[in-house]
Amino acid sequence: MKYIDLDIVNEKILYDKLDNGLDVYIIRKKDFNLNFASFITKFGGIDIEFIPIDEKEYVKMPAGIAHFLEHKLFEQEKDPQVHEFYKKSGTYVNAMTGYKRTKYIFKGPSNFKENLEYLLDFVQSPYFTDKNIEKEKGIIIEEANMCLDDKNRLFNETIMKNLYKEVPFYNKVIGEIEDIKSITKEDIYKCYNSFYHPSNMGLLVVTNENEEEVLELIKSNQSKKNYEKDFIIKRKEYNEDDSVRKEYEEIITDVTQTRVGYSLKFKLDNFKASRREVFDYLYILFGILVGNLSNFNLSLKEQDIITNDIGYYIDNYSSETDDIITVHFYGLTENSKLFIELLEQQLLSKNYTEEDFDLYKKNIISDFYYCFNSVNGIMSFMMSEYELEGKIDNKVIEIEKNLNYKDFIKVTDNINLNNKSVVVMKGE
Amino acid sequence: MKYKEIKCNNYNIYLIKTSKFKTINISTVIINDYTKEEITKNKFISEYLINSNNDAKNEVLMSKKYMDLYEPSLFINDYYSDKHNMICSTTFLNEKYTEKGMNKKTIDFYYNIIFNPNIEDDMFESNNFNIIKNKLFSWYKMDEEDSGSMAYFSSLSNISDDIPIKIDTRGSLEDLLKIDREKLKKYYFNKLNNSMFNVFVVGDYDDELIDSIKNNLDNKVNDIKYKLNNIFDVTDVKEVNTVIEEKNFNQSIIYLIYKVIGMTKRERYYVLPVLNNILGGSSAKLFNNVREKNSLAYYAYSNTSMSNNILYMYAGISKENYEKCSSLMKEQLKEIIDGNITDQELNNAKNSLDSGILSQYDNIGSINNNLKSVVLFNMPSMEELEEGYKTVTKEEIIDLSKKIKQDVEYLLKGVKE
Repeated sequence: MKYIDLDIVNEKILYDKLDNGLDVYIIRKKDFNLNFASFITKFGGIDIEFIPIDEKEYVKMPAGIAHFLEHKLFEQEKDPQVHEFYKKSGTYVNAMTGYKRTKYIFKGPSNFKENLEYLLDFVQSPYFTDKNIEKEKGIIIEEANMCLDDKNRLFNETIMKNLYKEVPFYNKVIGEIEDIKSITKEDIYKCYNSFYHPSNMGLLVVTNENEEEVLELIKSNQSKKNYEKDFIIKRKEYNEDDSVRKEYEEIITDVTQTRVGYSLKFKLDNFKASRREVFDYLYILFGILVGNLSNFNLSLKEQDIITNDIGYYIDNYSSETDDIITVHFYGLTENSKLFIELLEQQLLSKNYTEEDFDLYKKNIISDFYYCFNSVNGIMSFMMSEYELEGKIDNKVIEIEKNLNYKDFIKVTDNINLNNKSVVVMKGE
Repeated sequence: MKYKEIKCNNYNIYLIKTSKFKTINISTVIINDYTKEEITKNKFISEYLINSNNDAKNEVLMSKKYMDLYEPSLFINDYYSDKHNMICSTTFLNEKYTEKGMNKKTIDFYYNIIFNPNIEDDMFESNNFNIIKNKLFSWYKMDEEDSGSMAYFSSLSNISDDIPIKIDTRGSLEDLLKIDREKLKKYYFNKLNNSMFNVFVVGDYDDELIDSIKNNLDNKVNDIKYKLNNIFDVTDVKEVNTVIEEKNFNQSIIYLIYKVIGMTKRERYYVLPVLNNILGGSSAKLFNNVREKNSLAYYAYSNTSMSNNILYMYAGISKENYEKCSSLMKEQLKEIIDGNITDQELNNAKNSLDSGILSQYDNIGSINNNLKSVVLFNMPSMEELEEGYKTVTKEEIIDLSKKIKQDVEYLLKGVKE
């Protein structure tokens, strides 16, 4: 057990790695009513190829299985059922599955300790039957139908599909309707037994209760459960490089506005900096070049080339063998060719100043204060750190305090347009 | 939470002092009459004001100002009752965490956005005007792709009484295309001159902060008073209006809209929320029966507009399941009318509402929103709500449920193959 100091905001995180391998992070916020916990497994939509526990051969699961499993953990063998349990204390409970992680969360002002134990218990008590798997298919197919009507989702899924050649980002997290129909109880147990071991999971907590007592409660809960020691997950290794699966795709569908997505793919090694530094410096760069401090964004709007601000974000995929950084830009434009041409020129322009850099840096530090102003903000800080680094420590603060213009230039000089993928989605 | 009132020159400031947050939240509510045709103009103005002003003539200069001030958040929202409430809100870091003098600078910047818009030749400035026009044009077009928004506004527009919830607060593309920058400037300044102003502050404020607000508002606000009404009566239902609209979506969305006729004040603020939570809150009757037991939907909930005397249920479904789903949803309300409410359901609903209130104490914006409702619309405070929910009985819920009459049955029928 140790405390991680977040001196800049005068807070500390209690961290412990339990005997079963579970990483626990707790921040106490005494003056707040709300408690928030998130139980996360490093298992998501891309994890479909692996060697199941006690087997020797790789299996390939249907797309959407991580999401299906997430739904099914809400059904317990004995009452009360999960929603029913949390409803009693007026606590919000939910779960979400992404490409790389599945999260189970609750938040509410009362019954915290019981709620936390129950979170651990329900996620760690799978109850899958042929009957309850079949019943869930109707609900998930309705969810899939709802997703089919969301054109932005289709757009983003296509971007991911085209960027990665090996890692299965080509699947939708929810899967296709045929995938959902094909999922069996046996498939789900194989996934559960392979990826829901505590050593593959993290528990993040923000609470008004004493953090050391909360840790004791978690330890006591976990000590009653038997988990295999030295558990090893045998995921398929992909050896993803920085080339893309498809450089250009045009989707013709019933949209009213043409969307253009422009993405670049890099190996993290190319930047010769830590993942966090790369993220920070690239966010500053794109903020200056195409974001709200950019005359470029403004002039494209003034010339009616785009109708909304250029959006951008940075993403990462890392595994034992790969560490990939992807950057994504998107715009609403009826002139996709010109938009891409001008965007490319701008990305290579080095059109920034130290003054712009300093303005961003000043706000990166103040963002911590905004973040630590609410329980939701703190949880979102913890989740994003855990998502990016697989752990939470105070290096992020040290790194962000030490961001400097010289390193900014050094890191961002590595931006090139060698590996790009473009998606254009336009009306019929 | 206890608040302080300061009567100023033609406006009042209402304050709640708390050191719980590192931020300060200020809302200025500007109230005026409106017509439906003005909704798009108001939306346009809200976007235009935060995009640039006379001191920062374009959005890049404006962004630099925001960043110099440690990025205060700034929103202008339009709320429509029988008046237009233009709610200008900012949340910014208390200068204790940034630099001395930042509170005053931020407040000056905030009021500059309201009183000093970007003007050129006595009109809204052309570049920024066009940017906002294009942005809204694109927003209106993209909204046509959103089945959820379409079903919500379209179903409510079929209510048989002329009440504010029927108004499509999105405005329209047709009205957008008619907006003229010279007339819009005149409209806005005329609005400012004929509006009632009130300011609401939550945070660790001091006298200097209050003086900064006064320095910005004194001599700019005219003596305008409006009597505010936030309750809109509905008439009895003669027949259910059934509307089915076919649209090119995969999923269908059902809305069942009900009027609550002759609600008392207690029913409105305390009993209706409990009833709604039993019917269509999280893990409530609709969720358990439509989704969990029958696998007919991914979501099935209910909601209310207390001031409009409206309750509605909705779910995303397959078109083949429409009749089955509709009758199952109605059955859930019938269960309440028949008194089939368990003690557990009643307690769960009260606990959910109580949790909602306790969570609001953790959010500076929610505290300010409640302060506004108490002062402007005489609605219950968070403490009153917290106590009030606890006293609601099963009998009160059953009595209220008998006042609920269906007015609209709406299906957005997804016909995409």
